[in-house]
Amino acid sequence: MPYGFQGKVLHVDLDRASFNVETPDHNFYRKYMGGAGLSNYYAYKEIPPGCDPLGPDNALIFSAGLLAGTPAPAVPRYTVSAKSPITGTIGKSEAGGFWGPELKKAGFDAVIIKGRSKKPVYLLISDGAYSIKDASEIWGQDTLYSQEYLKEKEGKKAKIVQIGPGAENQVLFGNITNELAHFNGRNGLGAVMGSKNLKAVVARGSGKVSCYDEQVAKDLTRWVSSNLEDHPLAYALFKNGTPGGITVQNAGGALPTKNWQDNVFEHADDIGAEGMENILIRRKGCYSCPIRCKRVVESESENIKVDPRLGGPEYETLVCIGSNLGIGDLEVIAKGNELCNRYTIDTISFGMTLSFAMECYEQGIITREDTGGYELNFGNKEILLPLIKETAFKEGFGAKLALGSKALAEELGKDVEEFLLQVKGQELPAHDPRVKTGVGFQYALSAHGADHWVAQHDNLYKEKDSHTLKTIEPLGIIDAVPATDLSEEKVRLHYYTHLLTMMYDCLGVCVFGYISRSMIPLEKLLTLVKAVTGWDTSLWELLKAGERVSVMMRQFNSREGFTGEDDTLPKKMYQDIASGPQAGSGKIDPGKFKQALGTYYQMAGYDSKGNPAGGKLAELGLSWMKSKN
Amino acid sequence: MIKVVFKSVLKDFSPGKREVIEVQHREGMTVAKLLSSLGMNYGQVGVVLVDGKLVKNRNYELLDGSVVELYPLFAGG
Repeated sequence: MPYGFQGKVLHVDLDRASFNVETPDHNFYRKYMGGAGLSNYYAYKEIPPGCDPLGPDNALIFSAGLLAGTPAPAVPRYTVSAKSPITGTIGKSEAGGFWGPELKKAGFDAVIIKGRSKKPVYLLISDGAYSIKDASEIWGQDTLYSQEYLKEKEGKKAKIVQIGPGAENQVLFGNITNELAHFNGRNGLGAVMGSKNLKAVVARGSGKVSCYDEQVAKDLTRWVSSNLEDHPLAYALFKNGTPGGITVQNAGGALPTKNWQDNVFEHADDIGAEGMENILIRRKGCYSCPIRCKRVVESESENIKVDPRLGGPEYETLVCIGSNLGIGDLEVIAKGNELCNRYTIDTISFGMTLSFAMECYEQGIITREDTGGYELNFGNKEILLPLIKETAFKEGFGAKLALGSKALAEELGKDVEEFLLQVKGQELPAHDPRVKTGVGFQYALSAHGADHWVAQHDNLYKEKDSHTLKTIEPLGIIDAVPATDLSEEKVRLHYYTHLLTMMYDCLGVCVFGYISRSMIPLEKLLTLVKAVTGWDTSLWELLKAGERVSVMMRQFNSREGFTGEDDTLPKKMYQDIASGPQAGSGKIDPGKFKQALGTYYQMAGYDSKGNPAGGKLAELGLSWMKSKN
Repeated sequence: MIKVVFKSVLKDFSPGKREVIEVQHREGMTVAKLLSSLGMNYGQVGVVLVDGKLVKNRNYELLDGSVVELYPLFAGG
């Protein structure tokens, strides 16, 4: 009897409306585990090289974490993988919420969807059964309408992963939501779903995820509940959520503002956690998580009504459609967040594409004629909501924004490189590598374009007597490393915490529950994995599973023609910070950065081109990837 | 005396859960020593301002009359 996993993977062919259930053996799960391990394995196997990301040959893979669905704390996550339409690389996006655990309870660890339905459909997975159903009545409708429709049809307890009109219309950063307020936000994987005419995947399960020793999982959840208020980072996530970061980043001169031209924002207090108290109606969590970092906001003011059912803005959103656009009106930002969530477009890529256009506009490169009359000046809050809608429906100037910043820059055909903030086609999240260089490694090295959660952040480990540094002693990292270092020690720190974070993505672990960003230590996580699976496992074996994810993703990219030459940073990162307390400092030395990447490739077992070497593939049991099919 | 201001959630971890406290200045008192005397560390304190200026050096020496503002650590979100 399997513990932790269900032993079943569902293959769906939308061309033929057919299904196949695969039952991988125990050793397969031990090797790939779940989440990003399974999704990236199938991505390499199922996606033909060179395929059109928005064509029927692309595979869209949903894969729940190994621990998801157990009563353990903060393990709600699932991975979605496909070839990304915005980067052309492997796509990977994580989400919490409730859908991953429900998929497991419905009897499956992963779902692989290929082909393209002739008509809009949704997929129902219910207690081991599966069917394709007509979605023509909800195609074109927003997520709130569709959620209510599907709950009415399939039952209130069903958990729904779905797309809105933005992803249906294949906005290149269209995303995927579950239960309206949780997102596989990045890489445009919602657009892939849209290209398949797939509106939703509904999961309904009355089963459970068997554990070898379930009590250990329950006890750990109780331990988190009891000790949460004593842990400064976990407590801050509970009390303020990620919006708590706004005033901190601003005080430290690290808050991206006006397309990263500035690092401080005069309205930071208004848009952060403190300002949010005015519209916060409650806190909410994901499946089996006591930390409850999600915000629920509501506004009933005369001009702006914000619906609480579509989730509150996170730190990233508050920056990307707030300070980064020079907009300091929290109600407008919260409404913008709600609209992006109704239409399923990524707030990071949308905000960063708009801010790029704004800087081009202020430089005279984009004109009012180009924008259809919109004045794209920083701080002009009147344009935000209409442009979100135009982007989702690809109307007017929104059709340009829907391309993302890199393609928009190419279309402009002018020298706008210095205003662009993207890596491999994906826009930067709201963390500045000039104040924490390891985040620069994350952006440059991430196989799926700029991402801020492929490793842990530098400031957790920069001081010798911090409790956060102590949390990774089991990885052999004992000495503090300065935040803006480019040394070999920094490369090693990045590499090890990258493996750790990829391990989390196999297990379904949320970074806001476990070290170093939160409270559950590695020793307790290891005990939990043993208790859930019954395996005599070790941190070594689990980290190797994380490494396997990293290498599989790089190998996918290698097959698509990517090399280390694509591991870059935007030009602005090589210029000093212009304003705030860190003004006149921070520029990254391009030569030293490239040298550090070279050191990384050697540490990670990559060849001279920056791709996994044969020996590394062999070590990880991935030699089957050597043949370029 | 040194005035210490605990920003955001840090006041819930300050002595007496107060937003502002005053501590006796001692010769050679640095930011790191102040944090240690408050039972805090850089795993919970992310940004330190002294008299309104960002201080990144843990050994920065505090003067009598300094105002120290402490912000919580924010490391990804």
